[in-house]
Amino acid sequence: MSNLTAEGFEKLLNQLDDDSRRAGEKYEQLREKLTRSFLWRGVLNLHADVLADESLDRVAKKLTEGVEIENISAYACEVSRFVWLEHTRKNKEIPTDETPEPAPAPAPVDSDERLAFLNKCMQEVVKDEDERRLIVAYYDPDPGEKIKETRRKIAEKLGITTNYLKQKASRLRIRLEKCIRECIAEAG
Amino acid sequence: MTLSNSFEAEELKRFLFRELGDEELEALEEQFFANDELFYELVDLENELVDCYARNELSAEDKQRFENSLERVPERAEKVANARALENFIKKEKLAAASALESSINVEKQTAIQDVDSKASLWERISEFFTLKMFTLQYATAALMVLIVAGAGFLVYDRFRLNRELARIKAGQQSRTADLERRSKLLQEQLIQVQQRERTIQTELETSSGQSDILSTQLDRERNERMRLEKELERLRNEKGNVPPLIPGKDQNRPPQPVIASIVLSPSAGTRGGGGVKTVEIPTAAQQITVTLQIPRDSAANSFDVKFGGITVGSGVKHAKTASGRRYVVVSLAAKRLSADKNNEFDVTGDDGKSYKFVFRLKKR
Repeated sequence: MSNLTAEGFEKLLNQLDDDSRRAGEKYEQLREKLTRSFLWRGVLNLHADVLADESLDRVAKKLTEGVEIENISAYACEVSRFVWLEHTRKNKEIPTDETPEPAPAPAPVDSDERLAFLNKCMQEVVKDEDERRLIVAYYDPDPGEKIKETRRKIAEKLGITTNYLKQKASRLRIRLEKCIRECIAEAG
Repeated sequence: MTLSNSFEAEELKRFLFRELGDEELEALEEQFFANDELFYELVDLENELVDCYARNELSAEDKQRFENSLERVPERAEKVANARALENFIKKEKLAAASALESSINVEKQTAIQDVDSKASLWERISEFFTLKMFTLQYATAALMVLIVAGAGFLVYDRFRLNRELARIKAGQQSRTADLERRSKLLQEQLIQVQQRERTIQTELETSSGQSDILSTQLDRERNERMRLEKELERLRNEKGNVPPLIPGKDQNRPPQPVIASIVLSPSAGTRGGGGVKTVEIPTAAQQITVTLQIPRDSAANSFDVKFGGITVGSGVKHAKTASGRRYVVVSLAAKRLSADKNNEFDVTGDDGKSYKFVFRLKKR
């Protein structure tokens, strides 16, 4: 469904960073921001990914057209609004769906099945035991009011800042949730 | 719920709850697209809100706001379901970790116990070693104690023996000293007596006639006896070392010495040889009388029995002889036996059967 060309993708990566590895990371981060922004605007997961790719395609297309884009992230944000407006407008054209996308019930999976998917995803998405321990420690429900202190100690133990720890944990959780969503889709 | 109460955090919550207006929303979107930190702050805050809602830890207000947001952010319900799954996963994970930790601790405990056991075994070995050593030490100590006790006993016994020996020696010395003192005193007394007899004989010799030979002989004999006694006394002094020298009249502690008188008698008249009754003067203080009885020349006897007043005062007395061949016997008796009021008689009977009577009167001066 994406209209992203190889040339456009390469131009986008080059614009994000001269280093291809860092460029790839920034691309993924930008895509995540786009996806999240659509979700927070009330777009369903099913559509949020599509809209994020559409937004990136449009940015890359502008690059291939020779448009000078100083800030890719800011430009992508502007593009995403048009994409979302188009998506909203399209959904409003459906007579039976005048309101924003209906709030669906959670996927029809029981808690045990979801836990099984989570276990599976922990094996697939989480790279190593350190990340697994990080997930458990960071999202441990028990620390109570000392959660910030606990997370500070975790960051200190890993030798990273609390912001970077927050970033790592958030990314891991996003990956896990996406994995679970895919598992449910496959199972359904 | 540990969310910050700062205005910034509240603004983020409003964004997540879809409570911001379009302009505020777009402004914040631009910010988190430009700022990764803000973006993940929002992601993390959303996760925290979801988790707290899943655990029913949100305040009533936030819970209402959260539930209101579910209509505007339909995928959030899926996040709540995932949050519950994650919570269960973490609980099980922690339980497994705790179990593993417990197992690990048990293993460590077991290892520690084994270590302790092995250490205990080591200690036991050490203990056994020291027990053996202790037994050895105990035996050695016991043996040492026996030796000490025996040694102490021996020392006590030896000390006792030495003390007893010392006491015996001291007793012997005391006895010997006492004997020496006794003998010394006796010699002193004898010496005094000899000296008195010597003086008496000298006096007798100066006043008597016809008996000078006997008296001279007797005087010589007394002088010899005195010299012998003096030598003996000197020897005793050297032997004893502490016998005080005899200084007549100067030794106040010296016991009172008996005053000895010496008389020389010839056979009385009426007996063979005849002669009148002789009067003999003796010192009033005289206590002892030494009587020299001249044996007639015709006597062939070697020994004589001497009686005074019918009582034997000498039996088998050997006679002495002067340088000129005159013989005599000497007897001694207490002065108090002599009578100053009547005649005093000595009967001398030789072993040849011949008897001689010596009569004299006593006069104390």
